[in-house]
Amino acid sequence: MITFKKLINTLLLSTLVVSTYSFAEIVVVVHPDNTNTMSKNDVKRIFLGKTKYYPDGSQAMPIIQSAGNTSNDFNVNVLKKSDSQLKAYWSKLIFTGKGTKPDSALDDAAVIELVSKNPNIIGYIDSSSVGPGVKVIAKF
Amino acid sequence: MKKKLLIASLALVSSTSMATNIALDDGKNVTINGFANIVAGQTLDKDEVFLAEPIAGGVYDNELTFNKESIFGLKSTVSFSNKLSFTGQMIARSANDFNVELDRAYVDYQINQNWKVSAGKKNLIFFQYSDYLDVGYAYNFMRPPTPVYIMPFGSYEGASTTYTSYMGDYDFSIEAYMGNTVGVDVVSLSAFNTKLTFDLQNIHGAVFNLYAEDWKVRLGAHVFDLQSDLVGDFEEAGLSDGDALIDDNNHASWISGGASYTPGNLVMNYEFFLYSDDHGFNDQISHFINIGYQMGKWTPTLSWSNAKETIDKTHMASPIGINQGVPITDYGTLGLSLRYEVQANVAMKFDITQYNDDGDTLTFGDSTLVSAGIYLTF
Repeated sequence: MITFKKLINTLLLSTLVVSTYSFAEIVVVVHPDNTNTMSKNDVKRIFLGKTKYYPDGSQAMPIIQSAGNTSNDFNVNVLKKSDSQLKAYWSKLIFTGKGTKPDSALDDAAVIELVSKNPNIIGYIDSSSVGPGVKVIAKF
Repeated sequence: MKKKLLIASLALVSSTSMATNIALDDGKNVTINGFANIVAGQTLDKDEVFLAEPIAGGVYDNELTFNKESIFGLKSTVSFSNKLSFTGQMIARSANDFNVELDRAYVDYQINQNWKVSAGKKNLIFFQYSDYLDVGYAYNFMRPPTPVYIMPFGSYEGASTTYTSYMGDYDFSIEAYMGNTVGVDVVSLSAFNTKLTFDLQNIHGAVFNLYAEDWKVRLGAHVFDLQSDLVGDFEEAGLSDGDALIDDNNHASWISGGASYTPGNLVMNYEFFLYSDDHGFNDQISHFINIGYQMGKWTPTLSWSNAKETIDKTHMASPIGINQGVPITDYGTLGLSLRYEVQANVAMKFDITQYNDDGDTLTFGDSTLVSAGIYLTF
């Protein structure tokens, strides 16, 4: 009976873990003073280097994450590009002089630190990492 | 504040970041990027030659060599402010004995969100891949087919203005430019040991690009005055060094366009150009299509290209009467490239391409080229 309960618990727990993972949400964050409202397409255009500006005309400085699940999910689900597609994309943009690859930060905490200090910076993090100092501007 | 931020950014920047950013004390920011293509190749048969690189004249023969398409480039951008920057690019082409040349040197000024003006030595945007033709890492196939990418020019000296905007899910840009450039025709140089220079004066052109999620369309129109001179010893032909093949009243037009479609793992590209002039060279239509499929780190790409001269001008008397003997040509390529993503910013490519020469031509004749290369960016 105990074994059965353990099994149920394990199953429940693993379902929970799986659910949590599949519902892992990526949020795009900016400084609380940033008053722009942005569509998903606006966000995408900034992170693909297609524009250097927020809708209100102020300068946008995107920060990406250098590796990890959040970065992979963002690239695939938001930018719609695989890792190698994205690398070739940046090579094109850089050598055509039409854009620059965003600077990258190591993890959610590093993104939050940068965003909280500068109203121009925009970054993405896992929704579970959202804390004071940043404002969620879009969810994916 | 900005400097502090930059220092913070640098501290947090990962080691895989591609560019090297250097913050200068006076607020300027220098970015350095580079690329290298190390490419080896040879034709399959003894007497075969294959034009692979028209800008510096990379023509393979039956001897395995690394010195036809290998290229090293270094690009540096100095940002004086958010709006003003200077870009310089040095390039060393193996087909040019690795002589280091200043390939690009221009100033960009971003007027506002939509408008940008540039001046200096810039990339000549005759083709879809003109902007990054030398950066082999940036595309899947080995090289754009030379029946289309035949022009011996990489850059021009002049000025341009670009308007960029978007409507809903569609991004678009219009770039208009004017300037001049000079190139050496590699076909005549290699095949006949004659040096034919193309002098493009008063180039005026505009290119329109439209982008959506997984497709892109490009259209361009360019007009210029084309003068062509012979350089070298042409006594046998009754000519002398410096004789003009075509005078400077020859107006030429270049209409080009293309499209890319990339649904999922599929990559498809099409490109064409139409060339026409008053009384110089034959009118020509060239195009290529390629289809690739990404499977993890591997991307095979099948390419087909064709060039046709449509109006024979050999019967037309040139002002100086020496342009006879340029017959109608029809040639093309069929090739298979395989790209392998080695690691971040490093790729290898393997290729076999057959060159089919159907016309009574001044080109190179039939040949098959095998080549392999390693491509890096940093």
